[in-house]
Amino acid sequence: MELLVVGLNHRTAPVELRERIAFNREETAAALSEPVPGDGVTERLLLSTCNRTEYYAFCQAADCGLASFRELVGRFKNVALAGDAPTLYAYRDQEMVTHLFRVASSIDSLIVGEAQILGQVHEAFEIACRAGASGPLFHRLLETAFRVGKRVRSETEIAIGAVSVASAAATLAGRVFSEMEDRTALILGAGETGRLAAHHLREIGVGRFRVANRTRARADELADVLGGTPVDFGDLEAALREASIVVTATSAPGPILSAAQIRAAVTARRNRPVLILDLGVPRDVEIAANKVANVFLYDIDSLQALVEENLQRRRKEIPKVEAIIESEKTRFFRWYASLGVGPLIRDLREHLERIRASEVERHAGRFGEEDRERIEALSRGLVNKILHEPMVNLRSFQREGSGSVVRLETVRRLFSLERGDADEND
Amino acid sequence: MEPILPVLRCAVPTLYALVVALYAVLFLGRGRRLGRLAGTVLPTTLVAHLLFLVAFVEANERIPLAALPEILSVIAFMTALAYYAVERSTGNRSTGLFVLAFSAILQWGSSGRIALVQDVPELLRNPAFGLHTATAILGYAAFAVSAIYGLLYLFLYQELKTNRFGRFYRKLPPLEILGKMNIRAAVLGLVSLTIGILSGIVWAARLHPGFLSDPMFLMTGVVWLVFAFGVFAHYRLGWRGKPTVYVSISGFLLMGIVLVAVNLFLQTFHRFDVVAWNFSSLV
Repeated sequence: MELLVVGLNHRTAPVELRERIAFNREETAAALSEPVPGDGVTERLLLSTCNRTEYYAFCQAADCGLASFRELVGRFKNVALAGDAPTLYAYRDQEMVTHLFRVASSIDSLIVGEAQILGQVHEAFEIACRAGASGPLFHRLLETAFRVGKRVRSETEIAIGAVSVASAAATLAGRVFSEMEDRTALILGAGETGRLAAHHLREIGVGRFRVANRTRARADELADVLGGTPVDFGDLEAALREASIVVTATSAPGPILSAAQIRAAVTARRNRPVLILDLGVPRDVEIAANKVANVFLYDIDSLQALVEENLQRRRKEIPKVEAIIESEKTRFFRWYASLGVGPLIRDLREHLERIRASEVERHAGRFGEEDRERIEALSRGLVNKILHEPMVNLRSFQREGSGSVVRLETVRRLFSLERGDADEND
Repeated sequence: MEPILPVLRCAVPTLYALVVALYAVLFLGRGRRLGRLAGTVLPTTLVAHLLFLVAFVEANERIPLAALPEILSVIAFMTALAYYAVERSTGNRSTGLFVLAFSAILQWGSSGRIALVQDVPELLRNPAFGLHTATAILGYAAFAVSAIYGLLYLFLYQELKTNRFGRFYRKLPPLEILGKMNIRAAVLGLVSLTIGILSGIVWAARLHPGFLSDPMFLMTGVVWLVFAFGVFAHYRLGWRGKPTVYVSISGFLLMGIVLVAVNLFLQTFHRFDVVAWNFSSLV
């Protein structure tokens, strides 16, 4: 019996290969609904995102999970993966669980701390459950993985700070201004960069947008998307006076906003602060504008530096995340170990022996010395007789793979057997 | 309640020390669970401090505003209480370290020197005196809060201007909030101190016609003028950000100098004959 994950990700495989073997929802459901007879996999889960395709399996025998994955990829994607391909990795038992928890906690992601992966793991698990591919073992494993994901987000700063230039721009707006719905953002340049920054500003609640572009049609289009109004470059000064946030992302060969223009706008605004996000290369705003009081000017380099700083801060949190992973892994394996037939038989024997001994002790006064020895022998014999049949049956469960988990769990509950999982209800 | 006064005299500054330590933990972003304790320890400290003040009133049959240590304790309490109200309404604890450290310093300064039972002249038991001192002290406390938020504004402004995205950038509320807190606290302080000065004038005019020569009155007037100018400049001249903050910090420093000078050079809080005395000595 082994726990196995096999797959490839952004570190081991180029995007061309990742694209070719990526499973969409329907394919994932189909792949899990049609288990390969005799492949030896009793529980399975397929996690496929733009950065990874991974097959998690609970297998009857070593390496049967790898063959099962290759079969699935061959059948659904028509790609023949060699078992020893350098793009493929496989982790077993402890390493498999560590890997899953690293994925769920997002420290295995391309961008450490990204928020989507936990939702993707959740979705993969739901598909597996609907397809009947996940049993009690994976339920417990995935529940623990979700707890790891939640804990790292609440107990560490792994997800703190913007990690793209556009989101960094929006974050900066949130550090300067408090109420966004009353703000006006002026977008100069309706290209992809300006568009992206504008969308991030809208996400944080900026209420009004003005858009200016050399080609008026593109300004109209973006203004329409944002629910704002287009502005002619000729009316720029009036728009500047109104704007709390200015995003410039044009391809102009030199500055299109001078320090003097900005100073005049700030004076007209009675010195209310202005945030200027200059995303153009070459820069669109005269650098001297940053010397004007209450003007906060950031160019692409300073935003990039902020992003890098945030990424570094996230990376520094990785040891804390790993400590959480380690503690949850220990907890999971404590539970996993209790699923064995051996520990259950031992616990059951000890439990009945305790009952036997206490009952004999309770009635000891009624018998003479000689009778007591007989009672001891009789009660021991009785317990052994009673236990014999269940013991034989319990040993047979071991051959049933993860299906036995439910039965073993039921026996434990029936006899209220402790499993030494002290922090079960933490 | 008199017997608990000595206990509370030690307990209250200790609790403030604990609060400051917890808010420091919170600000530094370490030990989040420990930091959450702050939410419990702060109200406990405020209740203990209130008990201390109530016990003082009961033991002395007067409000604790007749001597500097008493006044410091009241300012510490009101500042911490005002901060707690802000924290409850905004849900943001990131400025707590700074405001509560100020309260803690005042309370530490007070606890070491306060006389738990002290008789004062009948004059200082007058209700008019209570109104005068309470409003004046609320004014001072508000000015202190204004200056603290102003200082935090400057720290964040500097980090934003120079692209150094440090701890203030990560922890403090938006710059605009700090600016608003700075100016709103100054307005509250100004209104309160105005009532304090006016009630003082009405009260002193009857008892001391020469009150205009009182150094405390004159210096408080200067502090009032500084803050009044700051508020006027903000609302009428369109001053925003750093200039307004500089005015409130200057006013606060001046206020501190006045309180220290009064404590060092005058035996009582007011000295209605001091100018005449100085003039006569010069002649």
